[in-house]
Amino acid sequence: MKKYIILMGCVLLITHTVKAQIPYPAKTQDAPILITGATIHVGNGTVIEKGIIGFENGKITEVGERSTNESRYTLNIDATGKHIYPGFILPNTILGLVEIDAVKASRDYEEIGAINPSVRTLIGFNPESKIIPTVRSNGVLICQSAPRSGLVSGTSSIFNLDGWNWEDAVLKADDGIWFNWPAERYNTGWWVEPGEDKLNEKRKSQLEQVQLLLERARVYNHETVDLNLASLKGLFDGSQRAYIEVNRAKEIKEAVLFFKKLGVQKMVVCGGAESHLVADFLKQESVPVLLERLHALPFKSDDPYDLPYANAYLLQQAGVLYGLSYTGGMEAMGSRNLPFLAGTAIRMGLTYEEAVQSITLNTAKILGIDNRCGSLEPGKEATLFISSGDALDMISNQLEMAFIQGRSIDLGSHQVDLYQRYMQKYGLK
Amino acid sequence: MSKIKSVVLKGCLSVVLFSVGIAAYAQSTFPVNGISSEDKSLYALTNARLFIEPGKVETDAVLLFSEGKIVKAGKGIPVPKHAVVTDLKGAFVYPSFIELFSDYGIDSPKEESGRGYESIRKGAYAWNDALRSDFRAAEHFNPDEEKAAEWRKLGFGAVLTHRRNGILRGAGALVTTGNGSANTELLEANLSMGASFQKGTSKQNYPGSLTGAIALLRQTFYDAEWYAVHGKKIERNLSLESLQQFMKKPFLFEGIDKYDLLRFKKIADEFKLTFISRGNGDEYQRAEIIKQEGIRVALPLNFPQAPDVNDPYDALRVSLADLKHWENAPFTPLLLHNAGVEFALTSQGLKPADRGKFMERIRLIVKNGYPKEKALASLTALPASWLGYENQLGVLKAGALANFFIATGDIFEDSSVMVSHWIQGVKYSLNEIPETDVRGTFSLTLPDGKAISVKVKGFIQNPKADFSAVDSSKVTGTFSVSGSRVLITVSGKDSASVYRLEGNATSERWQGKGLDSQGKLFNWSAPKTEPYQAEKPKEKEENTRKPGTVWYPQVAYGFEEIPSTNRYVLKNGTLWTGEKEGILKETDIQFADGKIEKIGKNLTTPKGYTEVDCRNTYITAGIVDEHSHIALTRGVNEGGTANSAEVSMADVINADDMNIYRHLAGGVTTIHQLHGSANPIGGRSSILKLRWGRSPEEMKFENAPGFIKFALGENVKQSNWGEGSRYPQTRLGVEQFFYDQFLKARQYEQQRKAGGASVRRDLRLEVLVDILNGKRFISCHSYVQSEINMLMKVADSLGFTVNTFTHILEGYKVADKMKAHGANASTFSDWWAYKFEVNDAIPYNATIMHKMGVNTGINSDDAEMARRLNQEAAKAVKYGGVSQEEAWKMVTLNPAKMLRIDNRVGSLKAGKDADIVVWSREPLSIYAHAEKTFVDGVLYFDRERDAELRKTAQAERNRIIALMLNDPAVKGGKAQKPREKKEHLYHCDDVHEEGEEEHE
Repeated sequence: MKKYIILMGCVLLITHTVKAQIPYPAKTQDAPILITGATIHVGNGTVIEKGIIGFENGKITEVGERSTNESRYTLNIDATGKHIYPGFILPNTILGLVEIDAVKASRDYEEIGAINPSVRTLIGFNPESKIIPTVRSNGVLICQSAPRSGLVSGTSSIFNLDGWNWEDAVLKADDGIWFNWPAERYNTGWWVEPGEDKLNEKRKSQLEQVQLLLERARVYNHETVDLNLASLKGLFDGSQRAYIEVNRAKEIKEAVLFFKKLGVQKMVVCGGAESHLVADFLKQESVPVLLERLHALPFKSDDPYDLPYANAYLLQQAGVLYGLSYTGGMEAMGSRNLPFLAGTAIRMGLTYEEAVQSITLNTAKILGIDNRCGSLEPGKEATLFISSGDALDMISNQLEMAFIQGRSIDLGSHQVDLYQRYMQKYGLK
Repeated sequence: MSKIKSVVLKGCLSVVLFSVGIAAYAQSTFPVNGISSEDKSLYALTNARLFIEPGKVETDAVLLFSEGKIVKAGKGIPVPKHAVVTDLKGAFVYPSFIELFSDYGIDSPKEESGRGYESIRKGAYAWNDALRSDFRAAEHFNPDEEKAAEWRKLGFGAVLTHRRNGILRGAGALVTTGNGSANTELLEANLSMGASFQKGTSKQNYPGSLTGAIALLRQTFYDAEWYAVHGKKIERNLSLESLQQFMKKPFLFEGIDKYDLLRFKKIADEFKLTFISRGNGDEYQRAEIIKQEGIRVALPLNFPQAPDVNDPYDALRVSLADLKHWENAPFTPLLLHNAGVEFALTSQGLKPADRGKFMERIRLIVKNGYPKEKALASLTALPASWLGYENQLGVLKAGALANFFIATGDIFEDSSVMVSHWIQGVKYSLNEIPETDVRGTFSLTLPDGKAISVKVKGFIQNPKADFSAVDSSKVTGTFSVSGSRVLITVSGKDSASVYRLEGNATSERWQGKGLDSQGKLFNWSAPKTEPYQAEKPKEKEENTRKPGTVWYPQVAYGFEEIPSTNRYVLKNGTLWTGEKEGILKETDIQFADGKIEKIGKNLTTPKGYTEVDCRNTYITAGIVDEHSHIALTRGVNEGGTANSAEVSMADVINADDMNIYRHLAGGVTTIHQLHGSANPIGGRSSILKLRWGRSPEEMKFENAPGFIKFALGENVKQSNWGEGSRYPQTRLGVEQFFYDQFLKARQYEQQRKAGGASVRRDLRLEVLVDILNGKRFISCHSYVQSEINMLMKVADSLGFTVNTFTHILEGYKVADKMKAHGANASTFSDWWAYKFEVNDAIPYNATIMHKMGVNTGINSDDAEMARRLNQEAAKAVKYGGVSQEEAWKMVTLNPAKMLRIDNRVGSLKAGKDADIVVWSREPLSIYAHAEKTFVDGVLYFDRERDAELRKTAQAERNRIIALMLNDPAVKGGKAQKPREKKEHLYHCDDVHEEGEEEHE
């Protein structure tokens, strides 16, 4: 029996008869689905007007102007005039590792000590975080939850934003190791009243410490018990990436050469506030960048007011592979605004599809999951959503349906519940 | 008897006589152990070049002085026979310099330990430990021979000394820099009162910010006035008792930036104080205002050093502001002089290692164009006159103290050497001038027959010798002279043989005994063969350095000239009026002199107006940010007390904040600068128009209604900061605190009415009285429904309205009650989950409140987000479907209404202020750029001009870095690594500590 759905907008309000504080995880895709009539932003830089996309058993079967086998689908969704995007990917985030920033008990992303490669965000990730439903309802369907403290912070994992537990939710476990590149100078005072910066006297020994760690890890043969060394092995065969938090041009170069010399196969510059100044170098070394939040004040006082907004465009121009992240203050709850960073980047010169790519396929490539997601191509996982309008602009970002591995997810959240509760109280519509 | 003493003294004239100065100054009250030897002699310095007073120099003049005072000075004065005469042979005599800012002879205050809300000082002193007006420097003054010698060496004969501790620092003492006893060196006790904005060693929490320090000063001055008449009947307070004696004396104020001078000036005006301010070397950036305000300032000479800019990446850390300041700081005196400011100079602020370079710095500013006479006056007559000592100090006139120094020449030239410094007539030698000038060429023949020519040249007190053998063979030697005795060590024919010679010099020959390598003694003599000829002064380096341009403000994107054109017609734009006319397509808007004149189609551009083609653009009123903390300095919270209504953000505006420019680039034209949320009753706020380049005063929104910040919840109960010892610690306590304070305010109002001036003026309660009487409006930081409800009930019961709830993240839960109460709402678009009390915040909040009829705005509380408030407004469309026009009003007209300035800003309407933004797209679109931002019709931001300003900034950087690369320290690899100062970014949770930020 074939079903037809015509999206009329206001889906949120109609579909939620069950008022759950946290939406239920979605059920496995049981019927092949064909969506028609939509503008499909493939994620790889191309767009298909009035296109179709079909998916079955969680995998994309076809994407194009018309279906080659319409009859195989038991659910047809008419999305005429609407937009389809691959699920946006939020890299380098603490989403799922924190519930309330100011409450220490709810924070799980900073282990004590300087060297902690073995700790894994995998097992701290809470798929039932109240924040997650508010993020995915704006189109962010995948995240990479990363550790933060010390010189070597730990190991990250990548998750679908849907699941009963972390085992359900994980998309790629232990994908990389996180490093904080020790800065040459550090700020004195505190952030309210910063003083002049000071030379980091410990820097040399910090770098030596990391160097020795990596040298030992490279030759580590598991004969002695050393969880830290064991956890680093993937860096040398390329199965894991080194994610390096570093912002200054000079230090970016320094860091890349450092890890390269030590035999690290794949590295990613994170932050990269000044990466545009060393774009040639990054391109030559084939090192991608996960840019810090574009909605930021200029890194240096004299920088043009819109330089952070323009960072993506500058790397695009230079041919460096980059993705956008939402790292910074108010991070977990604010990450629902990831799409709008891409929107702002368009204002600064990116084409629309380049901007989509900067939060989909680019990021998937950088994270090493592009074989499974990041673009809407046959064989990839059906992680995508339908928005009634341009999802990169807040005026028109309105999700009507979203799918993670073909599962139709609930776009409600406790915030929507509260909204409805009080609309009802006041008799508002 | 006096005759006998005179004879005795004459006998020992040439000895450095009075270094044992105490004897000369034995006072009558001090018994003498031995033979009394009071110096009543008359001294005459003849053949002197006397710098009598600024602009008056006499050559071949005579200076007569006796008993520490000048008797006569000038040309043609007969020298009495009984005078002790010294022939200065044309040397220069300058009045000693005067230092206004020092703590000479006063012990540094001891660090105190602990921290709290109460005073820990013992005794009948002020309630606040930063108030030390009771301290009297004179009572603690101890001359320090080592320091005194240093002062004299720098040229200072008198210094005003204060203990540098606290906001009120106590009485100053004017002292001279001799080695006499405190009794002889102290000229005047209690001449002045020291002041600053730093609380020093006080460990009391209040004041915890600059704004708190200013408020504390004002309250204390009122207290002093009240105490003098009424208060003393109620309590004894030694600090106030002391302070009120100083209200007519000069205050010596030490600020830490140019705006501090203006801040203290306002206080001084309020209480009719006179004051002298220590400058900070950045005063040139606002020279015109310092001139206008007639501020007396003593400029420091601590010019910034060039950072090491050799590494191009490291050099990126240096801001253009710092580059420009490096270039301009040594021209501060010239630039202030050009602006017509008369100022003193101070050695304070020089690092200890640089103090010796004081004179070098003075020469530099003279070389940089500040006239010599003025420089001298800045160090002498001017500071003297400011202290009321114009007849005693800083001049060489009859009756003045015999405080002067003698130099071999013009002290503004490098070659001039200070010979001696005389303090109250007592001589202190500095550099000995040999009796015999040994310079010239002398011919010396050694016992082994080697003939050598010795050429002696250089400064007379420190000559150098060149040795050359007549037969051009190699010769090495050393030479020194002391008095008329010369010492020579020189090599002979055989390079291993060395001769050591000593002898006496006359102007014609040297002769004496020598010793050869074998120990054999011989006689030698060297006649002068050529007289000394002064070397030609080195080709004087052309002074090519000129000050760079001064920008307003002096940061990247500042203006060399602030734009003033304000008559425009913007043609054919799409106007989002925010008024009932709604959106008008292809419409013109004409404005002049700050006001919108006309809105209509096909307007003819009047003469004198600039026409701008605005086809395909969108024109709106400027954005009004109801919740901002930018452009503030040194603290946004006065958290040292639960009620800080007395403080005001208007006192701490930082007009140089780059965020002002960035805001303009985001279409923001008006901001409400709020106090933070550290306490239930915060400080008064300030409303600014972002007139980039203008001074703090000029940015203030004229006649803006008064607002004050209140706060509720976690911050005020110190849930996430502080030691948790301040009342209140619960929401329950917050309510009681409000009642307590408001009821006290009512009572105070009645008491003042009945008792007049006999009731102590309470600046804090007066603000609450204004609130109760509807003359000041609350903007209250608030999150959860219970507390929102509470404050409305408190207000209702006391008969006023809570004007605005800001943040108000659970406003949607009590929107009906807010509507009934009449409160406005100013919220975040979508923030939540950053602390416990915002767990129920939802992005639909603005929508619900708006739909319930509450006037709703969206604010930033964030320097970055404020630049994208158009995007934040768009979220009201996304979350709950508010129409675009209504959403736009949430960042323009609605906040203008809640700030009660909607008669002037917030929408486009003839008669309103021409605060206008031209957008490239629909204003709520994420793709929209603010192309042009006008404030009062002046184009303060323009994207096209911004592109030019970027180039200008880059060119200016390159130009100054090229200069820096020539700096000797940078060239020599000795410069410090570049430093970067991060910007101050305040949120309302930030508790700042206005601590010791002294330069030394």
